[in-house]
Amino acid sequence: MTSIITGAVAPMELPAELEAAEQIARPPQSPWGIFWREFKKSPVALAGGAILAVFYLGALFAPFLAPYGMESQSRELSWAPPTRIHFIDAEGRLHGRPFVYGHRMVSLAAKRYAEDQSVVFPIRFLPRGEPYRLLGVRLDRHVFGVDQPGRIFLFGADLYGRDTFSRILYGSRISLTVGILGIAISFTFGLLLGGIAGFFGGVTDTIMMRLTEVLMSIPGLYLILALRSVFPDDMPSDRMYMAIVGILSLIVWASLSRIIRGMVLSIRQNEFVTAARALGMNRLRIIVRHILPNTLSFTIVAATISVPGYILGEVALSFLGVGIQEPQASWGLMLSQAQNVSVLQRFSWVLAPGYFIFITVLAFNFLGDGLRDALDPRKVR
Amino acid sequence: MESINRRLAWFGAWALILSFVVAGCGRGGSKGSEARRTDDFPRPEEPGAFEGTGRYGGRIVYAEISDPKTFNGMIENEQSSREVLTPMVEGLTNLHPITQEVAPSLAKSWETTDGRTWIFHLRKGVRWSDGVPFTADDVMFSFEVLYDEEIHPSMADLLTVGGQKFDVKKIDEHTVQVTTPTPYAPFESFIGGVRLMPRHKLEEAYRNGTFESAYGVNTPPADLVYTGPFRLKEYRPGEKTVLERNPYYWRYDSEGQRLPYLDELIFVTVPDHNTRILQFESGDIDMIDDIPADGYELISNGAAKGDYTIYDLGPGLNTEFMWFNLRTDKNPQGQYYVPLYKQKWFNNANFRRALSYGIDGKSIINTILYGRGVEHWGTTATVANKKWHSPNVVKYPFDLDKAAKMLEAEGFIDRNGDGVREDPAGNRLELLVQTNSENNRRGQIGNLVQEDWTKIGVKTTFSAIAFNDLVRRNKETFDYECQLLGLGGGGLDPASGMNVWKSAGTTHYWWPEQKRPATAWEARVDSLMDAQIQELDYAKRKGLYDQVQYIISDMCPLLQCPVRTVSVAARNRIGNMKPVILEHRFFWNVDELYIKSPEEMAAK
Amino acid sequence: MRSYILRRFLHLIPILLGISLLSFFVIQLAPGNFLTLMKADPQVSKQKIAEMERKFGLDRPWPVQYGLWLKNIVLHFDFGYSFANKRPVGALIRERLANTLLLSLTAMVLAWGLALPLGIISAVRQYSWIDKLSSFFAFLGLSIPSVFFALLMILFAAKTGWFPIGGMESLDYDSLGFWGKVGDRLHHLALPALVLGTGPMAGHMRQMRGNLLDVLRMDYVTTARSKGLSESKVILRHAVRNAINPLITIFGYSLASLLSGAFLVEVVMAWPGLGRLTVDALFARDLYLVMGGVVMAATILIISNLIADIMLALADPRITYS
Repeated sequence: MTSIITGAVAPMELPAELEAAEQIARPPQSPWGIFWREFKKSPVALAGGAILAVFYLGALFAPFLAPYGMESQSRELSWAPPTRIHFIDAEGRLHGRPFVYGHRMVSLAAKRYAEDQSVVFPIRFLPRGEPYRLLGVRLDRHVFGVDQPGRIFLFGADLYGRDTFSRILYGSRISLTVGILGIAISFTFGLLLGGIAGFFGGVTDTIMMRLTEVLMSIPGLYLILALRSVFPDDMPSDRMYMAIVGILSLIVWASLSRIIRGMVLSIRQNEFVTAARALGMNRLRIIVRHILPNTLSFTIVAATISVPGYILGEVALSFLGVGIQEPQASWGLMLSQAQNVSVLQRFSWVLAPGYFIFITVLAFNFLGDGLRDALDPRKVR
Repeated sequence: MESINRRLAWFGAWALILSFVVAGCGRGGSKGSEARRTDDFPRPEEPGAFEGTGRYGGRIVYAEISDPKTFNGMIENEQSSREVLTPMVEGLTNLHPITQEVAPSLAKSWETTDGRTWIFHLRKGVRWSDGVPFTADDVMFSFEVLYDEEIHPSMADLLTVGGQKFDVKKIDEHTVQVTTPTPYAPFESFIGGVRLMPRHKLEEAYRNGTFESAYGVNTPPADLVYTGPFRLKEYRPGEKTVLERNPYYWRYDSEGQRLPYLDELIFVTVPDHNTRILQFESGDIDMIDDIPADGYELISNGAAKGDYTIYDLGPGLNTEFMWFNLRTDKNPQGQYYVPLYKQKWFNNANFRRALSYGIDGKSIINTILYGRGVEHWGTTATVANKKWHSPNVVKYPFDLDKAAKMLEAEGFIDRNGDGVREDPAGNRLELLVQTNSENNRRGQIGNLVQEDWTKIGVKTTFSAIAFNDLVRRNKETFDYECQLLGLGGGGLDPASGMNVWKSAGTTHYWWPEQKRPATAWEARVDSLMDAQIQELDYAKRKGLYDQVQYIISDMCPLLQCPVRTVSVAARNRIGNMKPVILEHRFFWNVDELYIKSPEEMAAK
Repeated sequence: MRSYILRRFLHLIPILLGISLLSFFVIQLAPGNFLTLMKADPQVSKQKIAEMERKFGLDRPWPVQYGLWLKNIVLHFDFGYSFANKRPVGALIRERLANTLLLSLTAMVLAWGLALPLGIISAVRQYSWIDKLSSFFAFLGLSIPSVFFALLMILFAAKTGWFPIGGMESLDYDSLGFWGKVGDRLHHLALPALVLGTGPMAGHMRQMRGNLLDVLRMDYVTTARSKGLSESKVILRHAVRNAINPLITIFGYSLASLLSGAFLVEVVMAWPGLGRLTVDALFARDLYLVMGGVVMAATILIISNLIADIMLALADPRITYS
């Protein structure tokens, strides 16, 4: 239940002048309807949502979309540049389907390659490739690829000759889900603990305030690194992933719970709360079913805006070498190869994951902004 | 308008404050005196000679990885301190890096009759950098400190035989006699490693028991006294160490000019590898040591524009290898260091050999080293070690099929088709390889090896951990399975590897400090090493050490990775620059370096 | 007011104690005992080890160690010894802290110096091309990850050579005149400060714009206009002053968050600051340096929060502190 009264009438399209009059006369619409209409008004928010949908789908279907496996090395193609796709070949003939040429090494010291125009590899769609498991099913078809020994590196290759595009797809599985999992954990704790502290007040409240103040007073990255050092260095990857999520969540829940506490404090004064207590309702129930839902709009927006923080936290940890380890892929880990200036200058496609991180954060910010506008009860409509 | 004026004033105030903050954060001016190039300083009776010539003036700037930790030549044990000390400290002899033979330094000559008693004739008239004469008393003092039990500099281990120190006796003011308990083959190579310390400056500290903190980084320059071509002018932590010419230096060139030519030698602290390269390219620093493989192309392309020369010094002396924990004993708590079933794998020589075939040396060279490396098997005597390297070793060129067959032959077969082999008892072949995270290249090698070994059914996990942690595991707790590390520097003479090859040695990586050799081949290596250290005849000694190299390559306690080729670069305006593969690459002849005149530059 | 400030200062102490206790505890949890490491390091003299054992009780249980560490700080101002750098912690931190503050302050000047005017202009000329353009760049600036931005700037500097990469000053800094020194520092500061300040600048700009837009809709602005005041006076004297209020709170907090952000920028762009020092110390398990670094960073954060709260109390008469 929320404190907004539900209505039933669906809006109709009316001329502008009449619409304003109608607004006052009509009973209020469903909150979902208001929200969706406001949200649709912002093209950037929609764009953000669409981009994220694409990325998350990409993460889900990564093994299918990626032409190569996460770890497949082509050592003789170390630092190969992005493969160029052609339609017209060297003799000027137009091919029915796009194709790529073979690779030829020009200089080992410079890792420079040229196209070997004597071999043509047409791009095949839905070819068979390296086997993988997707949602429990063993498959081996990929969206696109070229026959062996050709290679199609959309975003070039890294030091070991691994396809950057494929690794970006696999890496998105880690980088994108850290945030979702993280806010699930920290928001659960933040809401519960903030709610309890705000509702009960007194000693509980004071202890929580002090504790969170201490946690918030240590600059974020220091605390993350310090906590990371508690774990042994050679943890298996999946446990490392959970550890990272756990550590990042710890940082976030502190500030969140304080805000929730503040909100709960003010909501607590409201009449319906007093009424519920008079009726003898269990206090925890009151918190969860009556008070917290009133923080919903804030929580949704805050959650959306926090996700980038998690993503960037994982990026920072992996970049520094204490997050996801080789041969796994995460965007932060891939970016760390760019720390070498010689590499950065000559093989600038090493920055590709950075662009993806950037776009993801941008999308979340757009989305959050749009959500905030749509959910803002104070806004003039 | 007034509000705009107010804004401007506000902004201006900020700018002014900021500029003061910015400039004020700098430190005060430099200290130290100007080195004067007069030759009013007393000339030694027996000066050293340099057959070339040069021109006075100028300075060289060199970048080091970190600050020096101490200026005490006797106890320093770390590269940055050593680099700064090289132009300042000297010994009785030194190793000429080009000929790789021992040359006179503070001792002008020496001789032996029986191979055990050595007489050193000190150079007459040499003075310390504060003018006090250098005599045999300083040598006696230095050896006293060397053999002090409390201080125990690492050099002392190289100058003891079977725990016995050498007997050092002063014959007269300029003659010292050193007697070894048994014939000691590396004596001549090692004796020069004892840095000679001034008695008049340090005896008091030594008697007080504070020798180790004496000559630390906070020592006032005027008190830091040595005999080398340069002396300390200024030290700024985190920034730089400045050395100036030592006006008392004892070497002269062919035209009778006292060395060194340079006014100043500046070591700047640049921990970041990228920044070092960029500073070299921009002209801030004058030479770059050990050009990293991935930066080689960029640097060599800029040679004309930056007016510097690249010197390709060939394969280096540093080796990199993996090894397994071969311990079969239990820890103090009563548990095996290595689980019993894994012991069976690691101690099986064919297992090690198979995995050595699984190391893709060529890819390491091409992919990770950009072509700048050579394959190597055996001990630490790489092909750069002209006197002692033996090409007659067992080689393991990359061959995954062969590796797979060898594993099969030993009973490691994938019986259940999951891609991982099992040993005859049914245990899955799983391995954890560790190396230090600070070293990028090792991390990259580890990734390659992991991929290949996993392909042949040995499920390998590779992890990079902090160096301290790694060392703790292989020196104290021994809870590791396989590590990837390297050995560098240390010297050419086989005796400098005693601690590595002897089973009782402290750096016998795979099982240090054994009470008795665990295997027959280790016992054989022990006796060979013991024999070679007493064998004064070079040919015979080499024969012994060649056998050691063969055994090590055959039994494979170390799985060798390729050796890197070393290249360095130095500005063309530095004269007499002859970089070498041995330490110190640039500064072994720092007293002979000079800055060329514009005429000389134009004439080339 | 005075009592409020006093109370907040006293408040600092338990917080700092809590932080240091937490940090000490966390470091102790980390595997690897640095005492044995130190003993194994041939460079650390036995006198040093004995001295450390005496002063800090290195082989005693950790609460005892913590107590001794605290005692040394409070009584002797001795933060301990850095094993990795072979120097006292206090000296190391002092040097690096100044550098981090320099970077953060410069980034702050950059951020606020651009954010305020841009925000005002955007609000006043809402929907104009200036507004749309700066909003767009603001979003970019808010969203760009600092690691990525730093790498882009390094690439830019490497390709053009217009800016140095890494380091705080040129090698011949000492020989430059006063203005030369200022110029050299600014030259080295430019890119790191840009990377660090862009995010905050974008955020503050949008805040300013939002606040000013809200204020401009208020009744008293209409009143001022109807009184016949010139537009710029209306805006600058009345509207902006009110719009800035919420931003004052953020001012103090922004320094705190800049310190945190400076950390990553320092590591990627090789700026020799406190963040870099602490990261290296953490990896090297250099206990006292880590403790010193964390406590110092936290102290600055708390103090800047305190300053922010005080400024807010001064600026907004509606807030009372009983």
